[in-house]
Amino acid sequence: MSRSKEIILERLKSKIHDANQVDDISINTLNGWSKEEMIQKLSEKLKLSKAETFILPTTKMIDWLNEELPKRGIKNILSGNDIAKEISQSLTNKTKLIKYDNSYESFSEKLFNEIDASITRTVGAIAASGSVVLHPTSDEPRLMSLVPDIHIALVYEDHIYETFDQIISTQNWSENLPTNALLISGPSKTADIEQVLAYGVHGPKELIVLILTS
Amino acid sequence: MLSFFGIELMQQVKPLKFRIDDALSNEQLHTNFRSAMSYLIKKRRNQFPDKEDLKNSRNTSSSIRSNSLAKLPELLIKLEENLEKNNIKVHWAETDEEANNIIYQILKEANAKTVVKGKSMVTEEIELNEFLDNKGIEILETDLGEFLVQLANEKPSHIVMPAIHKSRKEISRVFADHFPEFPYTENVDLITQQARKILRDRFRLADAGISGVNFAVAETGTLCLVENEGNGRMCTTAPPLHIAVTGIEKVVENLSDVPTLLNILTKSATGQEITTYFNMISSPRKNDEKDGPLSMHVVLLDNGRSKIHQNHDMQETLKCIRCGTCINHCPVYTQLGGHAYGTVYPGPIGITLEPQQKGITELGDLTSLCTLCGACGEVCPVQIPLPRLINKLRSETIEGDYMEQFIEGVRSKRKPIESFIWQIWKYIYSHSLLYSIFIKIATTFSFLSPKKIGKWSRYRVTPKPSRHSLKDLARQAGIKNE
Amino acid sequence: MGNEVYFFGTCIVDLVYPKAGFAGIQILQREGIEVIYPSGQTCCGQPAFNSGYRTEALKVARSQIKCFPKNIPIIIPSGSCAGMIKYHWRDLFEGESDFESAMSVAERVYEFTEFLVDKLDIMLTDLGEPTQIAIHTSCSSRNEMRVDDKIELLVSKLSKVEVLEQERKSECCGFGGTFAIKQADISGSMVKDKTNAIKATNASCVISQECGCLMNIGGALEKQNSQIKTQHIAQFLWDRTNATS
Repeated sequence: MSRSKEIILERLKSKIHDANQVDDISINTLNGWSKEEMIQKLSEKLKLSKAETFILPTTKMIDWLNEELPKRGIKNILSGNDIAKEISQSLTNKTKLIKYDNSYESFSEKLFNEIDASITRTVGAIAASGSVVLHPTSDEPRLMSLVPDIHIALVYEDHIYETFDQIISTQNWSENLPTNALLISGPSKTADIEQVLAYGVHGPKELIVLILTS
Repeated sequence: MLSFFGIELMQQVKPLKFRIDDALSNEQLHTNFRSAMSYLIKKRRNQFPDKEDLKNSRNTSSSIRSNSLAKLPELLIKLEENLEKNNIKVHWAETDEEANNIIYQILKEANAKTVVKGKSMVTEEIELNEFLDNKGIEILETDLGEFLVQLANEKPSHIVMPAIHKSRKEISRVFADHFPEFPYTENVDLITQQARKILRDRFRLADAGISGVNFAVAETGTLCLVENEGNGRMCTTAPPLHIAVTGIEKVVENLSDVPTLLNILTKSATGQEITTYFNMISSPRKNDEKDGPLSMHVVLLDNGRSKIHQNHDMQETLKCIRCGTCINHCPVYTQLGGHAYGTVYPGPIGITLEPQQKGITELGDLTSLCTLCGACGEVCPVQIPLPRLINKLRSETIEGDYMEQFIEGVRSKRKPIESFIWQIWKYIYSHSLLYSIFIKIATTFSFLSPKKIGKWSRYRVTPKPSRHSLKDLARQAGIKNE
Repeated sequence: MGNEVYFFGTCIVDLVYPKAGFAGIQILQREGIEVIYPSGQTCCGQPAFNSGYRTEALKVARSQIKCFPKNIPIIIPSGSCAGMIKYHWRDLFEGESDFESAMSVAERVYEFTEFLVDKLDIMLTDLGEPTQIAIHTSCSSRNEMRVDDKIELLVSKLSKVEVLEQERKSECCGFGGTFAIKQADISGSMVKDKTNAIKATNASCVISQECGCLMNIGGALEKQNSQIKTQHIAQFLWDRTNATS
């Protein structure tokens, strides 16, 4: 068994250094934005990153799906059971509702090659950075928000937070982080070629955020 | 897969002087870097409109990192504990060779033949690609910039924007050469789509994914990664095996430390409010999950860091969060580009870190690639006093003593003639009588002063001593002298 | 408060730009300040310190302490030399028996323009012809002494001087002391970019708080056969405001 761990730790322990006092400056003080302001700022930031946002009452979501999905040529949409229960009855028959197989291994070819779009819930959104926050589950696995060309994310207006700090502390993340927590702030992009922005590199080419009001 | 013996070997073997000459004589390079650095500087500036906010953010970020270093051994133990609790296996590697072997063993045991890799400077540091290549394992870079650089058989020239030295034309050429099935195009969107197509199946079918780590949270046993493209998430989520490699200094104590660091990292590195994805991994696939890697490993790499940690005066080197801001603001880097340095990390952080890791004998000359202008120190998000560290390291190359327990080759760059000149300078300038005589001679015989002083005169007129010194003028004007 | 100050000319001014230093002294005198020019002064030690030769730098720096016994300000017409004493003597003298004496010198240091603006609140009347200039703020004025705003402020008091701003104004000119010799080609490329930026403004003169930078930029401009002049801020101010200039 390698002694590297002992060797490394011994060296690290050999000197005690003073740490700088962690300043008590609360640099992440909240602005106290209202719900409307949060929705507005969230939308603005997402738009800047070339994501689309739609603000609509929860009850109108199915209408939006029925109108937009065919319009955008989305012939099938991947969802978890939870959302499927909610929309399968009223979803247009122009768009097929697909479920994630029991495992990635049996589903991967379909996932990569045949799915037009996915729809997932979120645990909230962050207005300051324009991010939606996902905690993937067995119902909505990790790759749902990464592989399909189009990702539709549902954000409830009551779950919009000002800052990343705020959502971490309010939702008590340090006690119960999921296997994979994600902040998603737009469609996939790169500026590696002459600093010219290009979208849809490996992740979704489009991110559509539905901000659902009560 | 791809051999690295062509251009790369030539780059490393040429002495520094020739690499500098090559860089300076390359007009295209100068234009590329000038435009890229100006762009990145402007983008960063736009993210920090409020000087007070920036100051506070830097102070807090600096404290968080100092705290990590002060408690490093205890935090690493806690990190390991919590990672293992999360079913993530932890390995400790003292050297680059050990890290490579550990990674190879993990891949071998999993019978992994194809690997997809997210951008990771620490894997460049250990030269993982070459190692696995030699073992017959296919390893594919997936970050677009790294992918292009790999195709071109080169090394990255910047830690955040690896293909920054390549123009669009050069990239189009490289692409077309390697993938003749796609039509030649200089359209960035089209090249990007082509890359996406090529890499999709590689992600899907890879046996393993390898990544770096931006922050490792001790409190929760979580690995955090930033990216814009999505390739990082692909590499860490799709293949059945994920190996993350990180330097031991990347650990932070609490989850609550992350937002501050994330904020200043993205704004400094690429001038973005936040990257497209922030990926926080705390576990491989659990029993009820449908995707995610079936097994996960973390390799904690030392590779000289623990020695730097012991070296009190240079310890702040380890605060670095690898944002690349110092590099973007370095006027010398702007002239040379990344390759001339011949190191994994270029620019101010590179010339501070690498001589400490690899020794002064081999890399001590790099400390001369700096005018001590201070731009790097002004912008470092975690307030590493880079100019001070570089100057300190420079003195270690000449006359150091106690640092020889931490750095190889201390004093090895001291040269007899140069040293002699400084002795003369010292005698003259520390004795006012000698100095007066020297000034008298220099001013009286200023017409005899040399027309050329080495290479200075290649670019500028040679300065001549004046006919009268300031001391003369002051004395003549009757100014009090004490 | 008394009106006595020490003037530390700096080694480069003493040998190469004495008139600039003398102009500085004259400006101070004109403001009613009694200037003392210690005869034993030579150099702050910076050239050796920045070349890695700290032992030699210390010997030279140490020899300067006795030149400034009185507890009065020390005025220095250079951001880098002022910065060396004010901020780097701490490192240089660390652990030495004369650390405290060195610090007592360091804490009395003012860069020239800093003193004019912050302590004298100097008034200036522009007697010169209308002109267009560029200002080069040195790296040490900006990043160490933080006095880059002082030179701008002083020039703004001259009613007939228009300031033209060059591109990438805050980028290093490439001097870096011995860097200009040790890495001469990189330095040459840097000063070329700097002079190109200055030439593009069509300014007739470029001024600075730093003679090292002026030697670099001015020397390069001259080699390029440019007509653009260079002047130290002290010389510039004296010429513009002195009736008999």
